[in-house]
Amino acid sequence: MKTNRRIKSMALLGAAGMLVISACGNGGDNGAGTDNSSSANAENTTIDINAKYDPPVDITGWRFTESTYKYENGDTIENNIYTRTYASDLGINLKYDWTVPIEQFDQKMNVSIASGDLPDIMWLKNKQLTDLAENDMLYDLTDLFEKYASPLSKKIMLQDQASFDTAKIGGRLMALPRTSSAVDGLPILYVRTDWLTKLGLSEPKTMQQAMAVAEAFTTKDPDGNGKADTFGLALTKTFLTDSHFGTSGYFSGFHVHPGKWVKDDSGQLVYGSTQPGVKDALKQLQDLYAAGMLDQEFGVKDRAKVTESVAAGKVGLFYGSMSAPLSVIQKNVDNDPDAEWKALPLVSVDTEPATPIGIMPITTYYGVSKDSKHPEAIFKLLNFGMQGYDENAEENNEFGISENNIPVYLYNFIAADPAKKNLNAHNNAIKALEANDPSGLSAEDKGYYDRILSFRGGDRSNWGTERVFGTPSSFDVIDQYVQEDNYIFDAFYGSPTATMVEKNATLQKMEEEVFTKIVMGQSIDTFDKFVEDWKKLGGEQITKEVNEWAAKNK
Amino acid sequence: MGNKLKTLPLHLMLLPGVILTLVFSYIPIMGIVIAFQKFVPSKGIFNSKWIGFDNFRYMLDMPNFSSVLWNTIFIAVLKIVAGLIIPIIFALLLNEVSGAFFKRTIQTTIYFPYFLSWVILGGILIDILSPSSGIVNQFLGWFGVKPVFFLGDDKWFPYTLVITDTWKGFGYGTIVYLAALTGIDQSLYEAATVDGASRWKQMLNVTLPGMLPIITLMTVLSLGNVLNAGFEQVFNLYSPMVYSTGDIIDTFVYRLGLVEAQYGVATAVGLFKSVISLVLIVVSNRLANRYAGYRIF
Repeated sequence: MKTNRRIKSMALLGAAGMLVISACGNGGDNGAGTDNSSSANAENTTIDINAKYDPPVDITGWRFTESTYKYENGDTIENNIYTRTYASDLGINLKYDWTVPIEQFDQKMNVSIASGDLPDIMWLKNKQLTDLAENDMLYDLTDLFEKYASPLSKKIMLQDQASFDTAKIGGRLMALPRTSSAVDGLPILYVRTDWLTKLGLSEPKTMQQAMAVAEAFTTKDPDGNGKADTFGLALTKTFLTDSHFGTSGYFSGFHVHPGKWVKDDSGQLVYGSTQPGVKDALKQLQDLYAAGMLDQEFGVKDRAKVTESVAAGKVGLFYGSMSAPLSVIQKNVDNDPDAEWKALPLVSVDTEPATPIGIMPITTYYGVSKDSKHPEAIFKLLNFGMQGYDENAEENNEFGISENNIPVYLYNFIAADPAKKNLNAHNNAIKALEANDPSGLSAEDKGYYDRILSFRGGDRSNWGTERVFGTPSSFDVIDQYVQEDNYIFDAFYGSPTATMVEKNATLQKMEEEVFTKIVMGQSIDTFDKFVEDWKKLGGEQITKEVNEWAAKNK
Repeated sequence: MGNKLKTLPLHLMLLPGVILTLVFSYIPIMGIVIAFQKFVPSKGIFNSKWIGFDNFRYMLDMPNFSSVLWNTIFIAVLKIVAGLIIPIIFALLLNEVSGAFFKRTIQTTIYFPYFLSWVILGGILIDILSPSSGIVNQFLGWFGVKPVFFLGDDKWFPYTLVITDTWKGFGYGTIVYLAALTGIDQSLYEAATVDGASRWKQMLNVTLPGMLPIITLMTVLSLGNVLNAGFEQVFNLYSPMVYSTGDIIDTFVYRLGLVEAQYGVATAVGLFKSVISLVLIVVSNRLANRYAGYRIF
């Protein structure tokens, strides 16, 4: 009798557990904002855009954080120098409904949007921005931008008009874009120069030389431990999209751009993964794999795992973005006193130079809920955040990088960067180093300057900063791209088209699967079948929609 | 009356579980209606357009769906079978061990992986299963076996999932069965010894029948899970190389619902899964009742 009862209750819990369904959202109140009078009664009197709210107002928000964020003195993302200053200077009590690590942001945001519970100001991605705007849930910021954005804010945000316009839907400004530097994302080739010296090789200038280097790094025992445990080129399992250990720079050497939309000779947009040249590039990767020049297990390794290989001195060549010296190489330099790397421009298979491809630099948008009682508050936050870019701003480290080297500027809720900010930082730092005079540097640039000096004084822990902002460095390479005007962007930067929404999950999965398998030895002719399947399974329709979008956005 | 008072504390102990179940399992059931709607977040559940079974039709039309469904069933069935048999065998063997210290040590050791999350185990497994440097392949090498790329070979991947999952969970199952073994009346063994039964015969005729109710219960409960092939595990171990045999309904729903934000279709797929699970558990309960005289509800 007793056992029976126990069993029954266990069964109840078990049965209930199974019924968990991947649905959430009770759609409770979806107040179809009938009362938007706050914008309607905007008088023509001049407004003090810097006025403090009195009494203070509560503004709710959400955001992501990254694992690299550090805090000191008991600060948190909810309570730090920015939130405290918002309260004291602007009269804005910023309250986060939630904050999550960036990896979980898409999920959490989609779930929150599905539940219809929106804060005053929300961080969004392009897709969610379009969804919300089309469903009339966002506040139209067009007029408020004119009225409340400070001249400095306007100047910085409009530096790159094309990027700024991605926040417009139907000609109306539906969010503020987090502008930043487009050229920062361009791929670069990194090579271990101490190995080059050891094996008597020179820096690769062509694809053929780069592959010879990869081969030498694999077969000639560059680390001198007598074991064949090094390999040439590092890739991750998501190599098609990864910015470090990815292949965007490699494919550019073949003048093709998988995963991006590019113009063909007739001016039509085509999907880069289906360009004929992709086949040659894949064939070479296949050969590299067969020859042991790629990690035989790259197919299961994520970025953290491949970074371990770099740190352990197993690899000497990869394609990465400008931040690689700081993010994925520094550990190797810490471990091995002889290790030295250099950033090189992309190499090409023929005489035509390789053209790196980037994406529109805006990945985050700041939207304001239609139900917000203070839609103009976002501009007070924006103007506040932009003050540091004023040429006449006093040097004030409090909001940049703290004395203990903690980047507190990351806590900023509403940020936007001028279009070549990091490249300018590099150029400013170099100039100051040559002149031995840091007096003209901004607080942030001065930080780089100091760390470069410390590296040159023998502190290897600042190697990464020298190799990003000093010279020779990754920004030397980016500067070269810019000087030669040799870079392009993904030609499609609108929100996903109707068919993309429906089919992309399937198509992307197929692409990843086919490309990975070809590299690992499946017949190269599978590529032709992939192109055919891709078109049949929705690609043709998507291409049509993308070209319609392009015609509209000319 | 007195009896009721005595059991009241026991019922109160059940309360937190019941509340959690209501809040996280029963209330969200209302969300199922999304599966029949063209769900638009801003309009909410009450105002979104009703589209009947369109989401289900769309789901069945997807080129991936049949392979995803097959993978799910294949992996889950193997997991259930291995997850039932291995702990029973282990419990029986452990039961024959006499040294209490030795027995406890083994019990604790095999229980340990149960506490590690798949995120951590994922990184560890990539290392120990590596064909070039992993300990497993080195071991196989001693017997002249060529290195196997367990996580990157689509033929091996489902079995790798089953073996690692069983390895992670069998310590827990073993403890459940050991508990059942202690409940067997010792006088039965004495009687069997008197009748001249060997240890093997004792196991067949006393121990196994004694365990039968709990084995049936565990089987019936696990059959309801037949479409749960283990999201966390697959998500942390799979890669494009093994999509063809490793993509399961849960990872599919994850990509569809949370990455691509197709709430309606994702809910439809989830509901489809739950309905099948419900049917399976009802059927298996009937069968258990008919053939083993055992029922859970």
